[in-house]
Amino acid sequence: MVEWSVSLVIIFLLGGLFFASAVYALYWAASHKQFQNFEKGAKTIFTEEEPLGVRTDFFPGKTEKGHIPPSSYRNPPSN
Amino acid sequence: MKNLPLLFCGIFFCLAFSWMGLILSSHLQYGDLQPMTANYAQDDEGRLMKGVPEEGEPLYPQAPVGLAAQGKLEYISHGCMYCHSQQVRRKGYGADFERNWGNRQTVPRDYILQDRVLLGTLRTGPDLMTVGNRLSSADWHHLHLYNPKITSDGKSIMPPYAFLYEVRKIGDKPAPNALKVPATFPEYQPPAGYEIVPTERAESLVAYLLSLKLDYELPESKFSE
Amino acid sequence: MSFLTSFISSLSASKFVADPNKVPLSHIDQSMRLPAILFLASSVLWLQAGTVFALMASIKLHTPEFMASSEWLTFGRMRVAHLNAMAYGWANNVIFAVGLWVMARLCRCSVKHGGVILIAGIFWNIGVTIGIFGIIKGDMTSVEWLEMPTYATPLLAFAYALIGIWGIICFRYRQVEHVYVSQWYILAAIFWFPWLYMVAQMMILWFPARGTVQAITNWWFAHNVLGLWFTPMALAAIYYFLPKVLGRPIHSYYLSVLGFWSLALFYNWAGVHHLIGGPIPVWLISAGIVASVMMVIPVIVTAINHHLTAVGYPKEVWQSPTLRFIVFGAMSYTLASMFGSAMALRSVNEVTHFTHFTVGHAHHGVYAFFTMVMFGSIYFMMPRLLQREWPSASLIHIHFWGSALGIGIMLVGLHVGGWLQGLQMNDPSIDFLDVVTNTIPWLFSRSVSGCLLAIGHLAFFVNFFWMLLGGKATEFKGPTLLGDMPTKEGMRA
Repeated sequence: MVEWSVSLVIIFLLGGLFFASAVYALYWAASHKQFQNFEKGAKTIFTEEEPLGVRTDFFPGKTEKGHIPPSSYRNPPSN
Repeated sequence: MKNLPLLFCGIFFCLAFSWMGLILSSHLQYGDLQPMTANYAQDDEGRLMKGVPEEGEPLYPQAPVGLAAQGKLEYISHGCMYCHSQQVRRKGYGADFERNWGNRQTVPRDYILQDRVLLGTLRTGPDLMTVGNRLSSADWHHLHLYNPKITSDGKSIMPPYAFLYEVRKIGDKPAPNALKVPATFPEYQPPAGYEIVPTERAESLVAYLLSLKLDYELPESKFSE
Repeated sequence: MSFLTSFISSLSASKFVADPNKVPLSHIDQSMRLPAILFLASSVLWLQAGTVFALMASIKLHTPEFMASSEWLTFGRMRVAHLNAMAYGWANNVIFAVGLWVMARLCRCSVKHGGVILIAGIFWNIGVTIGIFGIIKGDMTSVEWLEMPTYATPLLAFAYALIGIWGIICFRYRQVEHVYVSQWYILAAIFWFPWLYMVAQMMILWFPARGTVQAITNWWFAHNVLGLWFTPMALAAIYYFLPKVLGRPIHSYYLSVLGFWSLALFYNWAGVHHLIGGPIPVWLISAGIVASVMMVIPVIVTAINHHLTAVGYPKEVWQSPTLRFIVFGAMSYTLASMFGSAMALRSVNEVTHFTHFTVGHAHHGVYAFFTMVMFGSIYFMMPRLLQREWPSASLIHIHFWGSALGIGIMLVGLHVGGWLQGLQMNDPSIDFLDVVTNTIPWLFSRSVSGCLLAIGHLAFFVNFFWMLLGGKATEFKGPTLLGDMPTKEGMRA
């Protein structure tokens, strides 16, 4: 049990290295414009068929009046 | 967050970091843990030599062998660990000492010779680390396994393991290890002329349970007063 | 090797249409159909099997004479079969379906070589079946979350390799530049799970580590299955379905980055809280407690994000089957995690460790959070995979209420019962057998809740297979989710 303090020191050194690299990665990402216009990413799940502002799920038989199903489902692919 | 290699590195390092910190470090720390005498040896000046066993004293822990080792396989196969733990917490943390589940805390060294460590995480039933110390009668264990209600005034919720026993006709004379079910439990008595005899599996399981003892000390864990 | 290269090149960008946004979602849904349905059908079947095992185990705990003559049906084996059927049968199958489907949609990959995942799915389920059978007949390993005998492992490893590689390749050849938050979680989980599983297998079963290093590895593994596999996949589902159904984007995208990385960092170290007070180095336990408490950060961040996305739209949430389950799950995530962080504190742990409280907490996370989110995901996916509506709204209601009430009763029963059990266990003046008999009413309430859950699962099972096999589903008057769908022969699953 004599060596454990040595391995602890190594672990903490590695941890520090890890933390430093994490900080650097964040800095790199920011400076390479990865975080510009970031919020627009939240809108990428919306498409022409399931656009922003349209609800897409209802209980069977309780679909809201005026709900227009996505066009690609009205004309399904033929395969 | 679009860069796959960078994302991958981050994800990898998070896991590698915890693996190194938790598992690798303990692996290294345990590396030179060996069975040890109750106290370390002393050098000529009377100082303790850490890691050096005393001359002539027995080393502990000792690995279970023979029938007890076979019994451990039964214990594993039936999932006994899921109701019974095998660890004694330190005095003052929980009531392990007061309940007679051990008179010292269990430490890593107690488990180094076990090929499968069965610490357990639920105490539907009592802790079994020292069950061989406090319940040292094979007959008690056989009755208990056959039907736990017999040895617990009918209160136990442990499953009966009657399939580990054989009900057979008594031969010339009763078998020496036949179960003696008390008269207060007529529903578990064998039919007249028959006896309940443990199978080899039951004998091995009981041998294992009887081998679970903490009757030795280690330098890092001494019996409490 | 050449198959691999042709497989990889078949997913190359040049094979796709010029404008990636013109790949309709319905094409993607149709191309994923066969593998996704295989995984979902398997998961629903395993859910039923797991529920049966659960009821057996639960009843045997308060009525030990129940079916007690059979060795294969003893509590130890039923409990373990239940856990493995639910974890590797129900949960993993549904994760494969939902994770791959969401990934395909977000990558705008029209799936090629779906047959690969199909084979993987078959092998996975064969492996789990062999494993569960092995457990019941007596070959279990008694290593928590790794009880399946080692002869089942190679099948699982092979199946997973195919699935994991497919997911990564799908991502590599994505058509959209932006990487959505669900994709981070799915990618991370796909990478973490096999690493966890193989390391744990190696260090505990194949080349066992010394003494309680096995226990440390075990709980690093088992807790990370919850936190780095189930949780990210469920969060990926919430982050996708919640905004999708409401038609509103996630409230704060920056918060989701913070949530992701803090989860990745802290969850990893929390596993040792299963060993508080145990025979392992004390500093490890402290590290685990610190990490468990730090988990409050990603949990609160995620909760804020989800809450502010959905706040003000209770009617829309209530009227969507998907969101009823998903929002229930999201709220349970927050609550279960708060409980978990509290349980890691030494003073609380002194009472709750070794009691039914822990079992309640486990079900809080795995059922009230993960499983409910996955139910919601299935309710969204199936109409789009099959291009039909769910046949019965009543069955959906029965499912929801059976599950919600069932888990509610279970959580109250096990948490209260477990807490009392812990307090009594720490009071040496109370005889142990009396502590045991005092838990029986609470264990009975768990069986009652189990019956409610079973009813909900049965309703789900009926609805699911009716939808899958029933040909033309019930006609509805008025508008439907996907428009008027004439059934064609080629459309049946």
